Amino acid sequence: MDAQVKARTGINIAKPDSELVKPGELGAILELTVRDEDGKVTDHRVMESKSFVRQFLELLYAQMQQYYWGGSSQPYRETVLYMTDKNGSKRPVVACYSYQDSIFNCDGGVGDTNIGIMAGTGTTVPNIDDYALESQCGHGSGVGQLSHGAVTFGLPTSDATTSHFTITRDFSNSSGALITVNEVGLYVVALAVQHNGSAQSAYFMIIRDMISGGVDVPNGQTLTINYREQATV
Amino acid sequence: MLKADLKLERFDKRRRLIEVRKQPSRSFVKGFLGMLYVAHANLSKTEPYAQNDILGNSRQIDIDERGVPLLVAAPGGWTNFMNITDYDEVTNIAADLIGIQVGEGTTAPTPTDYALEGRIPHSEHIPEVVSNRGEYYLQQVTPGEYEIYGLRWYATKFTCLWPHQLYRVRLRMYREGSPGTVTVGIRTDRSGADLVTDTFDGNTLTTDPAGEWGDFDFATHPQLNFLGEYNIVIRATGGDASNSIHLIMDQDKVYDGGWGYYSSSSGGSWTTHVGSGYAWITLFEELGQNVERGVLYSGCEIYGLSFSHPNGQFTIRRYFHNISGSNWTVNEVGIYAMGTHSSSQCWSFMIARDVVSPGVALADGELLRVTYVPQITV
Repeated sequence: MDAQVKARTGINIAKPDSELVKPGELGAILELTVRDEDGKVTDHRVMESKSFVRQFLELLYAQMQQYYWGGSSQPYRETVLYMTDKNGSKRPVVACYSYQDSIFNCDGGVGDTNIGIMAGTGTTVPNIDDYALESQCGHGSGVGQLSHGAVTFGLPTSDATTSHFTITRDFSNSSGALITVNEVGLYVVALAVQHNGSAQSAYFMIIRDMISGGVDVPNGQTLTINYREQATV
Repeated sequence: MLKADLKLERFDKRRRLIEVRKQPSRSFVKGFLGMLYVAHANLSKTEPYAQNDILGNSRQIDIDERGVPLLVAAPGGWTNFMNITDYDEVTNIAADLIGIQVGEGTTAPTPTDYALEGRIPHSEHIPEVVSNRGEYYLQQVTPGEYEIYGLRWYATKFTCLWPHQLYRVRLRMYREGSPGTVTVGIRTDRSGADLVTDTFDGNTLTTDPAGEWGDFDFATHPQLNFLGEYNIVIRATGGDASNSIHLIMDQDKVYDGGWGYYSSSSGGSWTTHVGSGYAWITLFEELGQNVERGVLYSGCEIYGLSFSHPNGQFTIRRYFHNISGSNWTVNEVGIYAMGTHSSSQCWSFMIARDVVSPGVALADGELLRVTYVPQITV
């Protein structure tokens, strides 16, 4: 069981979804749960996350290749990988700067719209070159906004064929109107070299999924999104 | 989804391509998920995550020491990978333990596999049948000796630079009275268990203070690894102050690979045998044979990141040259990646393992090229 997953009532899928992730694949399961103010589940869906986008593979490549900046003892010094951040800007990314590295970090806190699971209202089919949600919901209670909870994580676990861990975030709607979430994504941080040669955080989308038909989040209700990264042998 | 294609290509001695195997990679294992988890959750040194390294030891990883590099690219062979790297306090991570691996194991993969079942080691030579000398110290800058008996034990630490199986240890010594049996053990942890022991009748030793060499031949032969640290632990437990062994030593050693330790508690605790600016060490030699055979691991390349909607991919590739003098059958292939901990230590973790069936027979002189192509499709 995922000890840290936030789901509080009713829905708690402890078993990995071997029918959605085929042997040999590393993928993600997307689980969406809407609850009303009393915690009653009003909508629940489990689906295959289909859309690792290019930034995922680029960051994995950077990690495996160990693009490194700023150290004298490394064989891969002063190489960068140019990636498009969530704002559409090309950034020179390194897997590691000196002793820092937060690549793939999606541990966003309350209200953080740079890293973590994000929700949006865009309806365009994902493209491998997508670098951001088409229309990301902001944090707050204004029109079209959702209150972003803190991201939490379930520990890695496994059974005879599958290993997985879960990333969870709650989005509560106090905007005064229904919001239909049509797209979901996962944003992470990585280090990018800046003008003075040091590195700073840059933000990248690594997954974007469409929700067929959208999921309605009425005013006063909460949408819980689980991304369960999973590998099946 | 992230998938990977696996291709094995075999070349004969003239480098003609004689066999090609292609199959989907089936087996990203839990170690990969664990490393992604640490990175995603941004786990600091106060909350590290533990998983098994390639030796089955539980190792903590966090993001505070160069993050979780998930490093797969590697130089060839036994290249010492990083100066901050420390493997198991025995050996640094050599480059052959990072990147694509090959083995002879045939058991189907499971998510919790942490190493290849029967990894074929990196090796460049034909197994030896005659012992050669490895580490030794024969000088006496300032002659000295140390007396052992009963609870008084002595240990000489040395660092192995030549991977081999240990056959013999030689020590120079003389006796006082009748010390009885002298035991020599080899230990990685001075207070731990002996990897192997041999005994010697101390009553047959010379009483000449110049000493003589005593040979300790081991019935089994522990493997000594490149940059591994080992201890020759010497005791004469039946002796006393008048019936003892005197080890011939140098009080001012000029050996960089180790020094001496003495114990008055039968090895329960040890004290470094040093003074201000000098250290003691026994005169010693160790001899053995490199009986390993394997294949020559080249560098592990990562290249070819490319995208064309809806696909993206890159390539991980390594060559394996069989110059072992005999055949290997490659039944399994995997990927080892390096993860880090805030203590500056780095560990190797398996992130993928695939069984190749039937195995690829790699004859002496042949070359195997193994290629993984991780791919995403939107």
